[in-house]
Amino acid sequence: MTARKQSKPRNEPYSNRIPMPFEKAVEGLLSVKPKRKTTNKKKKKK
Amino acid sequence: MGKSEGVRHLNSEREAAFPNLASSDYEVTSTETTQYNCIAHAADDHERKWDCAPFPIPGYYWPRGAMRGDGLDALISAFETLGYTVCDSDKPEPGVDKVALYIDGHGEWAHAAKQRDDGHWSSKLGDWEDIRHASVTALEKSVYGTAVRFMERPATKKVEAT
Repeated sequence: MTARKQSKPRNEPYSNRIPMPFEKAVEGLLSVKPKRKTTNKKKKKK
Repeated sequence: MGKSEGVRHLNSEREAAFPNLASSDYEVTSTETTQYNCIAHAADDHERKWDCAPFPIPGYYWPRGAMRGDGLDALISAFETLGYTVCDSDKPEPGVDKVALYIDGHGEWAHAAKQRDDGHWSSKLGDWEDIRHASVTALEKSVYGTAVRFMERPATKKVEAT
């Protein structure tokens, strides 16, 4: 989310847009990326 | 033009959110409700809020086939699904429904008002009340920005808000 977006007054009760916290949550959900699998496998004990 | 006796106005805190309002001809026409928002009100839908999100959100609606996004094109396309087309004038015409579309300082859609049969405009102020206002400029210089586009369609039978 950009600084410009954060300045929008969507939490004001006279705003007609989806309130920012919800929007942030939505964007947060969409921005979740799968974790990369680690390549460091445990070494087997000899 | 100013306030008239016996006309219901917003409380001073709410009125302050709209710098042009206090000196204009307006009145509150409903009780406050969170059931619908301005876009829904302009679309004559008082059952839900109209806004677009990347996926469906309970309580919110956006017309199927309409563009999604914060740009004015998205709002225009939403009203196009209701039979509106862009027009040049906000002047009232017999047998014609009109809506005014506002964009904020970031160029993103922020508000819509619908024209009443008497030529004045009707707006829902977020979670607050509906108001009648004599001109589209009454809500400008606020977070609603500026009325930049008007749309019209042949008049349909209206169910006015309370």
